[in-house]
Amino acid sequence: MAKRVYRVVIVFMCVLISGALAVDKPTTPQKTCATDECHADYGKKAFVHGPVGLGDCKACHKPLNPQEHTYEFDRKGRDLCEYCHLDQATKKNIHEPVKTGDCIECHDPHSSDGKFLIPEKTVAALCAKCHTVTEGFAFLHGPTAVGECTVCHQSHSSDYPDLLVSDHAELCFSCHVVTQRELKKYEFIHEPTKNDCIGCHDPHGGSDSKLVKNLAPFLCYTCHKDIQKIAENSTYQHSVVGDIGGCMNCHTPHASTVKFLLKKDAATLCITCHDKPVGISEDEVLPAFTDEIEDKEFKHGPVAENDCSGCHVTHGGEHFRLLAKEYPPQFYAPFSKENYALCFSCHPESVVLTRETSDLTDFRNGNLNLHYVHVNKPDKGRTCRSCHATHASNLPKHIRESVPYGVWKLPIKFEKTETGGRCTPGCHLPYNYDRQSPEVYER
Amino acid sequence: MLWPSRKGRPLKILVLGLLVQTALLTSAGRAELRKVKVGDTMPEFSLPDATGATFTYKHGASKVLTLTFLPTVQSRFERAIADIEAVAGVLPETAEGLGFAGVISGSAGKELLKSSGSGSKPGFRILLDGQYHLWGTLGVVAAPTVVIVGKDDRVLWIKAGYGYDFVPVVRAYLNQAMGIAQETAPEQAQHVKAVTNDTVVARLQRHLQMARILEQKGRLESAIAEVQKAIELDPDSIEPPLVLGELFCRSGRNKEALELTGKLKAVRKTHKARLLLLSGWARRQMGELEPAEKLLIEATTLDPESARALFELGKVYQAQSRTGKAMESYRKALTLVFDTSDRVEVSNRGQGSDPVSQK
Repeated sequence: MAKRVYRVVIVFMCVLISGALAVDKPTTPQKTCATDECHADYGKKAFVHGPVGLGDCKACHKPLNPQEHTYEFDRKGRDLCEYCHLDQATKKNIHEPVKTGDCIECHDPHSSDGKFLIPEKTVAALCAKCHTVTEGFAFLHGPTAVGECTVCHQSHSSDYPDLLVSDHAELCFSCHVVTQRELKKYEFIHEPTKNDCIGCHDPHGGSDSKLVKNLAPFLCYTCHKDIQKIAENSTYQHSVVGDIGGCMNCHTPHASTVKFLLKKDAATLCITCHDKPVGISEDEVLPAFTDEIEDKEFKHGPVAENDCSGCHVTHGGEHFRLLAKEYPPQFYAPFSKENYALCFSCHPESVVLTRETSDLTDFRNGNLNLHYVHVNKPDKGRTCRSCHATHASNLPKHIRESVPYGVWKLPIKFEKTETGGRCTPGCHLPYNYDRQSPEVYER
Repeated sequence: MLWPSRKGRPLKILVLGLLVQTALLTSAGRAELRKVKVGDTMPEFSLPDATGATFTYKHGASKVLTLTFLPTVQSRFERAIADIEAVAGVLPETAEGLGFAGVISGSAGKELLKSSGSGSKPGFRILLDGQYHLWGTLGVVAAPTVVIVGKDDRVLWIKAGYGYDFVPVVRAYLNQAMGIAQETAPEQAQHVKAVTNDTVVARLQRHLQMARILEQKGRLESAIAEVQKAIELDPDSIEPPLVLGELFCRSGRNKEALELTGKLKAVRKTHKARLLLLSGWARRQMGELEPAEKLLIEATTLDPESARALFELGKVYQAQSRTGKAMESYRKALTLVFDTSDRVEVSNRGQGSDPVSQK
């Protein structure tokens, strides 16, 4: 019992003491609220809101009932802050808290240890309260990594989407100056590079150091759907295209001095792999291209010009060896224009269609076109490959020394003369041809 | 592409001459058709164009001729036309001495032009060689084939085939034929270059640029951190430490600024001036007015257009109560900042654009 009385007395004494120490709320309007006794911490932080510093609390608060010490804001919603901070919400796109007048989501209205009266230690920490933009990234964009969101974004309003400080490309180039300077020297620029960096890059971070939104070829396929279709559905596929990062084997993502944004000349790119035999199926190995042309004196035009794509498609195709168009793989073939579509891409079909000519070709006896004679037959026309090596040879016009004919390497034995030539092949008797003094052939 | 300006013209002409000679030496005997090779005299010819008018090539006209034998496969024809137009597109101002023509050999010409909507345009005429006469005269074997003939009527260059490098290479040899100076020899035009933005210079510049943005926002500590990253990337480059010194001064870290400038060695006059400015600026802020004055006078002597050095000198004089001199210095600084059409140029003066080249 005595114990209980003792406790009651102690509680009663505490109430009395605290009542004596407490400052009474003023019941009349005061000159300022931030005094040593009341609201003392408002003016003691590193950064103080102007009216608080001046002790002018009425700039924002007006008494509702002084006797009750109740107050209300002098203006409502956005108007409270915009009364002084006029220009914060004038642009096209407005930050949500600004729009709704929730300025105190980001600013302490009285004082703060952070610049601009932000209630967090850093801008990044403040933004992270609502925006989680770095989750799952192994690599962060420079400004994101150091928490400098305002390098790219406006805090209140902006004329650009995503509250960016300027237009996309202009913004990126404000730091990526070397890239911008270099681009001016290039004729072939990847379209997004001009004005849409974020088409490919995530401006906050990524799973790889280039901050790309996805890896090639998947990223590239988001726009290049035609290439995706070819690469994935063609009868003959180029294996490297579908590899992770495959497109980057041959293409550069920003700009190149040549078409198709190649990163090196075409032949160099191709012999990155084709300088050695390449297995293309379980039982077929493609010989090294470099072996085929090594030390050869006469090269086929596209080979001489380092342009493998003159005859081959690079992403995938419907013709063997990834040839761009139809090209008979055998020694004999009935002649049709379609059968020789590949060769006729560059060489006129008249070379085979015209029986008599004085201009089209040097392979003629007088005006008799010997291409016509050899190739233009309904059944057993000789195909181009019967006489010409497709890449290179040591004979003029890249004529073959021999051609596979079953198990036999059928010799051709071509000799060129000033006005014609001579063949001593396995196909027929030795024949000469001469453009100026035509040979007479016995039928 | 550079047109020779009056200043340095002899050098550019010499370089151009050497390029022409090099190109001729390297291409002569290499490129050839069945009947014509580089260095031969181009045969005279006449061909009708799509409108029926006759195009005649005659010797002695002192004009460059670019003749392109066009493919007759529709898709390749259109691609070739687009590329040739890309080459021709940048030539109008310089095309006075140029004959620019495409040739369609064979019977397909008129049909091809009709279906593609292409025709003879001013500056680029499409000629019809229905019977392959010009094709045969030159000994063309494939299309496209481009033949460029110099003002001396000799074949300067032949390219058969249609590769990835068609536009830059044709343009390079055309420039050569027209006597338009260019940065690289024509045979270098087929060497592919691509933008790389991960070089040390590019990365270093990114950090410096970001530092400048942060500095403008008053975030000096963050700006300093960015510059320090730039220094780590290339410790031998002088630009990042100079920027760091400025940031130290701006944030009142005077001892660090002095320590830094003590370690740096500048070769260029402008860099020396900036080092003196940083030392003077830091000492002024430390209250060491006499040495500051001496350093800043030296800085303004080396670089009389350093507005910051003049401003700092003004502050020294102001602190010394030498009002007249202070006013004079401030006025000079203000004149440099505002009495120029390009303030950016002034603020960047001496900073250069390539930090590595300033080692």
